[in-house]
Amino acid sequence: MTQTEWFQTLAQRLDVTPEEVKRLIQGSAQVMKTVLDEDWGFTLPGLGTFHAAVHPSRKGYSPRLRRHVMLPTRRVVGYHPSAPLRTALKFKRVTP
Amino acid sequence: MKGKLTFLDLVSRIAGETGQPAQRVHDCLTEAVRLNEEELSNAGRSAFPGLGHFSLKWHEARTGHNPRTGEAMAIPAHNLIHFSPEAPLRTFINRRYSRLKAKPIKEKGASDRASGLRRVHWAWLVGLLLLVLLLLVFRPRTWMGRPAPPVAPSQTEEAAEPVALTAEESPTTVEPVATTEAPVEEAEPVAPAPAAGIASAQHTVGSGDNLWSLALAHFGGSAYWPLIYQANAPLLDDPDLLPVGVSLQLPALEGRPLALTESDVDRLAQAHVAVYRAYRRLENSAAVGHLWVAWHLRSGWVEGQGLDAADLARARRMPGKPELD
Repeated sequence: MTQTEWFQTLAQRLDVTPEEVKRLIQGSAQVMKTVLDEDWGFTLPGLGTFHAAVHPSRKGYSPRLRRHVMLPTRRVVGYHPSAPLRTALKFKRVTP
Repeated sequence: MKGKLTFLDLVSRIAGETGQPAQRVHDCLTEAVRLNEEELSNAGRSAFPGLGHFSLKWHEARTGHNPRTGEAMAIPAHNLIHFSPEAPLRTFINRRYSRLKAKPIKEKGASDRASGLRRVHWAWLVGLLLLVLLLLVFRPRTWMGRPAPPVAPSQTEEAAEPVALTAEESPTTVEPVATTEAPVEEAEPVAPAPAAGIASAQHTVGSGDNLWSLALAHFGGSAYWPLIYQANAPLLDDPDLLPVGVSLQLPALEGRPLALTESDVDRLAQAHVAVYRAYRRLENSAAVGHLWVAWHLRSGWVEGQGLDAADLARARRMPGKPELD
């Protein structure tokens, strides 16, 4: 499903125009980004929880340079799927 | 992490920032989550625009161990849900770390290799410097036609076999010198030169003498040995060979080395041409070198001497300038 189809499907279900849905979803995503940047986590019921964590500097290997490199500190987004979603999909083998 | 926002907190914040009713935001997010769940279940992957992608990763059944008891246990095949944040989100939350870049680590092996290469480079550099120094100290003077130091055989060797010379230009043998000539005593200077110049003198050739060393002792510059040869040409068949016991005239100079008069330069050019002719006759390869020096000293005069045109052309083509030290 492409992004356009995703917005259209959501618009049909909510009985609004796709532009409105797009505006709302993009606004929501911007707020979620800000929340994560402020070092807060949040939960989307049925999907899971999201948070940002700091990964300290570590030693890695650069395949391009073919040398060990010291990777800098980075913030990463952590995700924990919600239990109902995990349970629903745990044993369902999906072939794309 | 400071904490977690509840869904209602998140909805109210989104509603506040987008200006939409909270109920609409709530419905929209709930429906979006449901759509994602269906998409994940059907296609194995879904996306929340602006946040990231979700995907299912299938893990085959395997045998694991209970970490508490250590007993083997069968882990059934199962899915894991993976989330990959979008690049704009990653960039946004990493703004404060964006200036940090990955830095290569100095590895021991690599540094050893690098230092090894450096050592090799240093070895080349030192070798090159030594070569340059050696060339500076022992710079070739083929144009001088320098006679070999051990030229004249000693008195005891006169009757012996010809002596092999180590002269760089003419490794010829020494003709036995007529020993019937009585050694000539060194004489007083016969023609006093001007005070600024060098007076003429006479010298009896002894064992080990050569024109080069005689010029160095007499003129203060070994490059002037052709003058001695020219003054004694009838006595010397080969400029590289001096018969022991022969009395040589050491000519005068009006000037001094590096401060020659015009007359001295004329004579020096003539002397070099004389050496050129002698070497040419002896088929010595140093002949053209002397022509080169003479041509540099008095080119017009040399070209008017009717010398071999090919030799003259070679002399003209030779690079550099002679050093009269």
